Amino acid sequence: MKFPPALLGFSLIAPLLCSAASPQGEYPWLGDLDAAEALAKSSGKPILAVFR
Amino acid sequence: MRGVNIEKYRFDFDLTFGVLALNPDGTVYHRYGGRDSRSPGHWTTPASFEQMLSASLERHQEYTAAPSPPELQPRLQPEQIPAFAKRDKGECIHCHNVHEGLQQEAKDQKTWSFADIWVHPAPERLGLDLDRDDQRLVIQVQPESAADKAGLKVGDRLIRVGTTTIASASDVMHASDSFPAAGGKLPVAFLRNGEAQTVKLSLPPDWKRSAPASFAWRAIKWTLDPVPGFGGPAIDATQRAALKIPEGEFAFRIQYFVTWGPRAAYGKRAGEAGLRADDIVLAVAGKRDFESVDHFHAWWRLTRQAGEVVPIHVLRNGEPMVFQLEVPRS
Repeated sequence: MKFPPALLGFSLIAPLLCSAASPQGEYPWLGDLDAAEALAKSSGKPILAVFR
Repeated sequence: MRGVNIEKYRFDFDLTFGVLALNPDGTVYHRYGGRDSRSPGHWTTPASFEQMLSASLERHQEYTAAPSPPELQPRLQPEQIPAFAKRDKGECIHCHNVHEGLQQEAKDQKTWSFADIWVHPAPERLGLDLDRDDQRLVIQVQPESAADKAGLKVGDRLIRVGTTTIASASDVMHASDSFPAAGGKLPVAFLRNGEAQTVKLSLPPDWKRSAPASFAWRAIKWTLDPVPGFGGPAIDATQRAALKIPEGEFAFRIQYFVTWGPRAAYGKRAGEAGLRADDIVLAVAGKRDFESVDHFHAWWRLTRQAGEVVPIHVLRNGEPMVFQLEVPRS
């Protein structure tokens, strides 16, 4: 499955998902939700927030 | 969950895996994940996740053309919930800890009611089952359920439940969570043979209440009273063979009695009733069809009453015995 680069990823397990879902680093996963929100606002991208 | 604004990032906190696709202004496009009594990962498949992502991007495009930010409640982080803060030792806050903290806060504020535990009702509470990969698709309608009476059929594809646009089972559960527990008419829009239709599901009072087996996976069950005051693991195959207990029959070994904290009276009463560590529990109040130890614990908490006498059938050193356990008044 290809993850759409049009989304910003936030995850409390960011390192795990980052390596699993974005091996080329094209999909930015952040471990800080406030930072993700700030980046989403400036980039116009929605957030994908993953909790487990 | 420490530091997460749970007013904005609100989901079924009992879960093992949950996703929100949202605009940073707080508009949630879709939800994903959640859990089901059938398996922790029942609603998580690559195909359904991809479907939710695509739907979210489509909605984002539409939304950015005409944004309408929601009114958000003031920021609230789990560690700021007073009931939680009192117990906070600075450790990792799990999702289910948030739910427990919110429930405890409601209890402390005397605003809690038992109905508060029926959060994020599964599609089955509407009378539906959905396809795991295409979670808009209805694959089962329970006879005589609200969905059945409203005319929903296998093959229908959900568009909206209440005001929530559907791309996943988690969206359906969110829509159900938002609808009053007292019941009422829940509008459901769907596609049938390419044609959009709408029906209204008549939901009776207390429609969110689920059976103990469906509730058993929820961590919140551990906070409910009354408790049996004892517990332990299901017996393994070797023990089962040695005790000649057929495969598929419920049995667990008593490993502990609750002898600590505010529930010590329950453990003490179980001991006074005659139960002992290493007893093999086979039946409780005549019930033998527990699917798991979690099911037993959920069933006890949801169905037993203070003052009730509960017969417990056990094996002790291979001999069948019965003990009568009176549920303490808390």
